[in-house]
Amino acid sequence: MSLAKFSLREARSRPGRIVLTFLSIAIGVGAVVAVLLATTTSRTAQREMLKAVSGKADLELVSDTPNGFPYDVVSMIREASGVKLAAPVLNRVAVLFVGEKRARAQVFGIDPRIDQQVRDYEFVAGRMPEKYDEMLLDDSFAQSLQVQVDDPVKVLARGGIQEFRVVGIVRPSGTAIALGSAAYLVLPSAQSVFKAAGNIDQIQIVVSDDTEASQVKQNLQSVLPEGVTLRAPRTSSDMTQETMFATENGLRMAIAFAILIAIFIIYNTFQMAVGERRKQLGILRAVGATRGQVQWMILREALWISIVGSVAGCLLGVWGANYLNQVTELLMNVKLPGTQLTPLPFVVAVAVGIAVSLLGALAPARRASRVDPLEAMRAIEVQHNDEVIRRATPLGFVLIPAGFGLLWFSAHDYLPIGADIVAIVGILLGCVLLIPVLLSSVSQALATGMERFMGVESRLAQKQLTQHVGRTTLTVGVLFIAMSTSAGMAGNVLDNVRNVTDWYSRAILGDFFVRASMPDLATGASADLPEGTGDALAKIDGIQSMDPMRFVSAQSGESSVLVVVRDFVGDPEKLFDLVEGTGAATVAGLRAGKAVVGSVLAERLNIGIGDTIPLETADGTVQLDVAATANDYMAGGLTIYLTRDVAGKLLNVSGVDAYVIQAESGKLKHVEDELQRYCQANGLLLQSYADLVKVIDDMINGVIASLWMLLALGCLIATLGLVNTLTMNILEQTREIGMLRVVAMTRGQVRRMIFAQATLLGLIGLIPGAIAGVFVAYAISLSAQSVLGHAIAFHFRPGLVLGCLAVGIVVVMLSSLIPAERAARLQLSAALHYE
Amino acid sequence: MTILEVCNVTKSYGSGDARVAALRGVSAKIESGEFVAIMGPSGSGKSTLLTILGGVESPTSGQVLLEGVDLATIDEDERTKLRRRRLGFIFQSFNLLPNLTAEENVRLPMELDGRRGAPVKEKADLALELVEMAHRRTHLPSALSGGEQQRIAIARALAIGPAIVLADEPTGNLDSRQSRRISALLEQLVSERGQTIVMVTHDATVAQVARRVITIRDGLIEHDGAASDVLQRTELLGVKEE
Repeated sequence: MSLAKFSLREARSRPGRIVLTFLSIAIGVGAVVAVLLATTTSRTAQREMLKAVSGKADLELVSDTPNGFPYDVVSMIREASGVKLAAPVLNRVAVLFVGEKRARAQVFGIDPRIDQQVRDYEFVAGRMPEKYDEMLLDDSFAQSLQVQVDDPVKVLARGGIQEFRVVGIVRPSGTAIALGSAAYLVLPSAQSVFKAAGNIDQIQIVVSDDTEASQVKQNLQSVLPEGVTLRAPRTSSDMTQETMFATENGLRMAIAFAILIAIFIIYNTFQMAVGERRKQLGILRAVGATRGQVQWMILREALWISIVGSVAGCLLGVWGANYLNQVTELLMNVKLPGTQLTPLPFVVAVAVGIAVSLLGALAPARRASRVDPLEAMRAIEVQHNDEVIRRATPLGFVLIPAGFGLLWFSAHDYLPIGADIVAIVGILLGCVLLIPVLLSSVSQALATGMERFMGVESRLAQKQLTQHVGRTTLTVGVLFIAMSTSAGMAGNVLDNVRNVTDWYSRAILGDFFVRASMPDLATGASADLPEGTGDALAKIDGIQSMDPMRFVSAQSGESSVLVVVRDFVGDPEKLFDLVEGTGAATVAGLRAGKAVVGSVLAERLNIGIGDTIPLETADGTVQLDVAATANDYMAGGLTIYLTRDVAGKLLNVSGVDAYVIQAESGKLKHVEDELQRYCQANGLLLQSYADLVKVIDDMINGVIASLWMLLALGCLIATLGLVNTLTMNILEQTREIGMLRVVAMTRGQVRRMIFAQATLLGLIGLIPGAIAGVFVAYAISLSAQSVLGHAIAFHFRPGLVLGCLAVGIVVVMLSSLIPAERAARLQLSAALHYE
Repeated sequence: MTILEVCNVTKSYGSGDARVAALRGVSAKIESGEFVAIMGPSGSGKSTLLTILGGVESPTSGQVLLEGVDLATIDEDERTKLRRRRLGFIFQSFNLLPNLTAEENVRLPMELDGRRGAPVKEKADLALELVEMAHRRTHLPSALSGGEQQRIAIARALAIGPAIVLADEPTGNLDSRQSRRISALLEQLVSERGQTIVMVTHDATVAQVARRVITIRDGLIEHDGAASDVLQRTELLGVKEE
């Protein structure tokens, strides 16, 4: 019989162990696939959106100001040498109404005669718009609005509400992804809708076949007017990436911890499997199996199970990615296409799964190959990995200080983002390696305390655990890491939520908000309010103040930023969640032409009060004095706040995205009724402060839900590990339990002994784990400085720690149910002869 | 007084064609103070009989009475409690818990029975002194020789003050010198303390210390009588080890 067949039969005889190992791998791989697919989908969606805008263009000319640049530039570009085609585009945001449905849309004003030469799309139905009142819609958008050719669609923009007829539906070709919420009008029509007569925002340029784009760029640079930038088409949005960054960083951290736990479990499983089969391995060696054959047999078993586990993990990951995408849609207030099943995440995850399994099995396989053939001839004590663990213990004394050092450097920006994760993992690993040093005394003390409630069984349990230091260390390690990372990340999630709550409770103040559409949180893009809205609102009796807001995309050095333009009326102390500066001085600075800078941008540029920040304007780069830095979650914190006067001069900003309205005391209801009436009549959105808070809370809850899910995943992996270890414990104790049952122990006492083992493992792993969790939360909050530009205030939450501890203990107790029952029901005569 | 009685006990394993009859109708009585050796070739059913006598396994049919209590009429936990109070077990491979000291091993059945304090210590001390192992009380099994480990196992069996001690090949893992010492110890327990012992052994030399020998072949009692008589006969019949 081949060794492969031997392995297969071995697997069949131990289905429980195989299933547990399989699940550990599947869940680990699933987590990797889910996160990678979800981030790939959102990034691909951004890229394709930008690609759809730039299309086949080799170069694009974009406006430095929100009002665009004159159409005449198109003629100038077309006449330039090497330019094959120049397609003008007006690219704005508007609100579309179809019956009772409303949706924010990216509206493109295009030249229908040449647009298909720069943009890839195919017609699903109809034709290109040719007349003033005709519209082309993206297929997926049309489907979501349930619109067909010839249906009417109303567009709300700066020019008020106008009605169009859908004449065509298109789907992007050459790519699998739908463009999303896009509508196309003929350029003059779009210019009218957005009150941008004679202006455009972009020109897509295709160069001649025999000319290099760089050459054309060089030719054009000298003739371009002020206020425009010529560049290669963008394939990513800095701001969108920044917004996603913190979430993705959290997900990466969760993956790192999940993989760490999975390695522990797999190593432990194979280690115990080898120990348990030592006699069989001895027989194999005695009958002629070489060391290499035995080693390869164990590794091959790991390979098989990792392949099967990875395949299952991939399927699990696709489901997880769909869930994460839903959360992203909620967070980003966007519609994402279906999960992008690109091969890379699967390849990476399967490679990780197999590598982790082989890594986990390597040391046990080496140990298996060293089994002495003589061991087949005599009754043997099951061997454990005690020696390996004891040898690794001194490493703990190195890892912990090294981890703290790394963390310090990371928190002070001397190391790239991600080093903090390595540092935390290193410290936790170091703690695990030190477990053998304390195991005996701590377990002894706990068992003595437990003896009062659980009898002599707790002492027996303690002896059993300390007899197998290696196995116990690994199990306690799994619990320790699962608890510390779960409690740590949970604490950090709550700290972040508190931080966001603090931000919007300070930065978003007003009784009511009137806007045409909800802004895109990533880019700030929003539909203009129709002209005259401000005047109409000002006539409503009972309004104390109105602060018009405008969100404008701009460039600051290498960073794309969101300029938030306001009048900054109201209590200066309540306008910002300031990181640096005071309210009064900040508003005074703003009125004097200074800027308030979002904390992420300030951190990125390493600037603060008294420094200057560059802003690209139509007249070149302007250096703005920094009045303050503020915590900000809009556009990932890449924000600059300016007064309307300053923004008007520098960026030619006009128009309004939203009005923040404060009602006079006692007239709140009246103002609300009046605003409601006006907004309904004009297709505008009216939100009360409570409405807005609810919208933000819903988004936050979505993110929190995804992180809780990841934490639950960590718990599940730890549970599997514990069930695995306790089951293995019982296998190894079969003979002892059999003897105890024969001489004295009732089934209930056996169950109690296994519960005592689980309780001891739980207490030793979970209590320090919960304490370490507080440290992990603190460490992550420190490293938030480099991600968010400000430290997340750390809060110690005894309730959370105790809650996590309680959940952990319950999980441990539940994990011990099956093993305890299994132990209690051992066949005594067979158990006495078990080897 | 009859301590243990088996009436027409059968025991079968497996089913259908794979069914194996280990015992095919065994009846015997063990009187108080008796030292009985059960002998037989490999697969004869002697160890099965011992596990049934101890209530570790249930017979397929027949009756086992321990001090008049029919083991079939009580549940598993009751049988366990009966075992730990009235039965002492000695195994071939000692079966001491490797992580407990000698004394802790001896005290264990009493502590599992909920007994605590001075009486437990007293009984453990007494048992250890009886097997001349008091000076090794704090040692772990791994620090003891095979013979010493078996003495501890005997002390554990005796500490509870059992009505009967069931020993399964108690000298099977020992060299001849240790084997003789353990045999002498068992004989001494019977002669000096009136301890009832039932011992499964394949070793005729060890069986000689017993006063009564039962031989089993193919699941049936072949001989049952005074040790000297049976051993003489079985020697002629060539009944040896398993």
